[in-house]
Amino acid sequence: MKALMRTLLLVTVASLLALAGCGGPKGPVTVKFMSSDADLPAAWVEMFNKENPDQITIVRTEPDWAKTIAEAAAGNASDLLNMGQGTDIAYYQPRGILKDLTPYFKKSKVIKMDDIDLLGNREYQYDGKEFGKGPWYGLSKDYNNIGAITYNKEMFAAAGLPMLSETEPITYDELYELAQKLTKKDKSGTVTTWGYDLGSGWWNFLASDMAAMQGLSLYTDATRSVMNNDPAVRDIWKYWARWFAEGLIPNVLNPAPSWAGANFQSDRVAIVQLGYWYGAQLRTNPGFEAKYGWAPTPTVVKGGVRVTDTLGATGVVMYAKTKVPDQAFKVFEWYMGGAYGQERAKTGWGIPPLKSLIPLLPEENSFDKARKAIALDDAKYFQPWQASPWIPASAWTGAWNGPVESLTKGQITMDQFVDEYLASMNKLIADGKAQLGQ
Amino acid sequence: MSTATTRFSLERHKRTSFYLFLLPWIIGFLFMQVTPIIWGFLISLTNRSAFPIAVRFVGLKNYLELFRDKAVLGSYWVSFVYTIANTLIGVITGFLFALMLDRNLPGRGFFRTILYFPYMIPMVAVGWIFRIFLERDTGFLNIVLMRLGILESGIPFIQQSPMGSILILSFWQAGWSMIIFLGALSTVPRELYEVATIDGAGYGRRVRHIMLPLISPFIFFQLVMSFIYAMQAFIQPYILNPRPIRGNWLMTNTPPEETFFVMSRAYYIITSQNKFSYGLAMLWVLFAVVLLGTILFVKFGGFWVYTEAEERK
Amino acid sequence: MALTIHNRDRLSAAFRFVILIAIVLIFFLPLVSMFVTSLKRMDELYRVPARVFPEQALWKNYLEAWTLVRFGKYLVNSIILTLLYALPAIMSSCFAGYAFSRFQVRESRAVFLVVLSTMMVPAMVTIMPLYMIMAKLGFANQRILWFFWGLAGIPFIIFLFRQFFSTIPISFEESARMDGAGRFQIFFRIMFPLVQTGVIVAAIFAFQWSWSEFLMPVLFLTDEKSTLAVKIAMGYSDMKENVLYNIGMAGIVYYTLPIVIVFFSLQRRFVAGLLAGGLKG
Repeated sequence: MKALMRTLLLVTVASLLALAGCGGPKGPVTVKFMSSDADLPAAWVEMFNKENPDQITIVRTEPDWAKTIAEAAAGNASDLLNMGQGTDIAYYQPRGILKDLTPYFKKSKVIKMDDIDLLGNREYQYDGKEFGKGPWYGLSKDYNNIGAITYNKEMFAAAGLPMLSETEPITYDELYELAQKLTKKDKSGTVTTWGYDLGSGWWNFLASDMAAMQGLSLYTDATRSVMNNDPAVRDIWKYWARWFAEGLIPNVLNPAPSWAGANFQSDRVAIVQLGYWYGAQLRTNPGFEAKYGWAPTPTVVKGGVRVTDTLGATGVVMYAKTKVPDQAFKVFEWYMGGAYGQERAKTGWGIPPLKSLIPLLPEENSFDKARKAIALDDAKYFQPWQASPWIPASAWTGAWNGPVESLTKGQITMDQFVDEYLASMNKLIADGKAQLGQ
Repeated sequence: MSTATTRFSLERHKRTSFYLFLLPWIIGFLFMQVTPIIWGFLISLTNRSAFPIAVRFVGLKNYLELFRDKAVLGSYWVSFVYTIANTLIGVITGFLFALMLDRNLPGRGFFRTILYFPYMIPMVAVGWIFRIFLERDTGFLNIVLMRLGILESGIPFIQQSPMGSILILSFWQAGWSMIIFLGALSTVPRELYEVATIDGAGYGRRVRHIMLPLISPFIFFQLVMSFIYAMQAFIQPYILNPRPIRGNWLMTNTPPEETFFVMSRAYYIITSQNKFSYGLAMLWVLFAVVLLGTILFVKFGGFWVYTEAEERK
Repeated sequence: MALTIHNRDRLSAAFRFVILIAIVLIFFLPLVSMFVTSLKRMDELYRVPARVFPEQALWKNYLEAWTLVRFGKYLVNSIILTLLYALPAIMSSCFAGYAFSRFQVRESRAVFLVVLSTMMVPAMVTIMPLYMIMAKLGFANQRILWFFWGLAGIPFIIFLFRQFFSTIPISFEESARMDGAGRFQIFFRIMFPLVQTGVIVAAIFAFQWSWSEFLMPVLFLTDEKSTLAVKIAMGYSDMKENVLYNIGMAGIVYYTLPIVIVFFSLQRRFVAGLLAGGLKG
């Protein structure tokens, strides 16, 4: 009996100790900020916490929207949330996750309503049907012309190709030809250098631009519930699938070690479409000025209509049921227009959300000058990409990957690929609608 | 009369002891098994998603939808294929290893430890170790093969055969199977072999007629356990994923169709697509399949298992 | 006869020895790969043509594996959860094994089958609903869950303990009972000390399970309390969102080391225990 009591006691103590670890910090208010390390570096978090020792403490939580949704169901999601694409606001707002920040904006001294750059922040204003109208749910942390081209000048020179113009956009067909000339294979047919690469899933944003440039919609209806099966739109999807099928981009048969940004920096890829912000990463490599070049977002027709987009811009929103809205908004102000906001502008991670910060963008060297000029130029042609409000942006990639792999392996034809892709998308959209009871 | 009451109170004493000692397990069982299983089934009969919207009872709609969902059915199929392959590889490899280690051998203990050791390494670590090992351009295996002149350029192992890459793990971690078979082989009395040898039986006949029948219960046990275990494979497809991983968003990148096992897909459906009830229905069907499969196998597959009882006929 | 039995045995032993050495070498390759990669520079992982060994062994990676993700915090978390799981798991399984071995009542067999049947339940079938229940009640992020998971025991270990207890003669208990000892006294003073091998096997199993468990921490715990298993699985990445395979491998070395050490120091008793217990299966 004694031994039993001893065991029970031991177990109780152990669990009490464990439970004790559950207590939160007392004193200053904790604001939980869900963001990747890259978008909220530890050094800056420390600096903020040191400057506000008794008022606010920022705690960074891992970027995981799946967990956030689950936490929202229990009422304890993080207070500030880094959102990958502003267009996802259309998806999350009817699901009750987001807080209307308009009253805070009206009172804020750091974020003045007329200082907000509407071009890049359009997606963060949503009235339930359209972007650019209605309540404000957040701001982009910075926005970018994600279709801008960055290319490796040395590889161009080695292939005897002329440098690209920094003012005249090339066409998508020209881009394709360039990539064909720059892709290198070894004796056994394995690709060693790819001509082209881009962010995973970003072809959807560029496809949307291509459609807009031709006056087409990716959908058949105004509510964006069914994908457009028009031959002209199918051709747009086929254009992007061709990259994979012909191996000019890393695919399942010729995989690259990592994502586009890393591949480009290790000289495995000649051209990438990543955007203005990518320059901030490249600047840290020696010899960047001479090695890397910039060009504006391509068009469909030479000298024709230009449409570019920001993918909705990565930004920050606030959780609807946050218990510390005022403190969270203070952190939001610091992030957007305060010390850290200014720092991001100075290193050129994107065009800042507030117009007053634009002069801070770096332009000491030709590299920075070029990318800034191209970004501001491309910005004139921004239009929100044609997201469907029924699904988050991440769902598009899921529908694409399976069929494109079958296509690459030669198991299906191009037409079958488009059929499968559109069918998957339609199903996902229908599921999304059903979730909201429609 | 006193014996009857003593026996009765003895029985009661036994029963009290039985349940007293079983109490911790019962608590854990009720809390961690019974409640979630029943609750999960009930939820699978609704249309619940992650969002607190319009939860309705929909009966068996999720299950009917499952059986029409080509992607989900595909998951069951590839899980099944993987299970069969994993079981065969594990059992055969383990058996061969045990066979080699059964008789006297210098360094026997050393070999036994080394061959069992990979099984102890956690699956997430094993997954990453092999992801690095099999990579096309900078993976160890490819570099070595290229240096030896066997290959011209690297083979994208993971991309060409995601399933094969995962099955290599079955070979590497066959140590568990080996231990079971080592135990099994040690139950066979030596004399039987010796008598057979004297009677002129060669090695093959000794294996077929003495060894295999006598260890058949263990083979049976291994097959069942391996089946149950392999149907639940979950993390390997995410780590040995041919698609590139950006940052540390491991779980948002779906595995390719051919290795999108049932548990992996259910996880994706529940956490990324937020379709709670649909995912739970999927898991319940898996449960039923495993349960049914095991029962069927035990009832009808055991005919070749040799037991002592039969001998006494 | 061309070969005596003795010589044939020696030939077979030599043959087997050679094959086993080859297999062991092959088995070691992935581990060599892990170690070699952990010492490479980042760009050596991306550029072609690649070399087998790093130009210069970058031992700094081992330091960064520790500092980049605050390894210590997750290590402590893993240890806490492992203890929180292992103690009840071992005790509960031992109790249950004893119950099945010694106190045979009519329903013993049926209950034992229920215990075995829990092995057939795919982990997610119980974990996912638990996750939803916890989320709904707002109870996420509680370590106590591991304690209850431990109480549910490990079916195979329950089985093992039953076998072990069955080998102990009843006379031990009978004499104690005649001396007036209560059932728990008998258990803790006499029976429990006799199954130490079983306890070792159970401890290693419990440790390995909790150390490797990924699904539960990734669903239930926030980053503050998360475990090494999750951190290692998610990989190390830098500010440029490149996956740092080299530092990741160093992290894996750290992660695997505790299990390896525990296993190798106890392996003789562990394997002996497994073989002894498994025999009666």
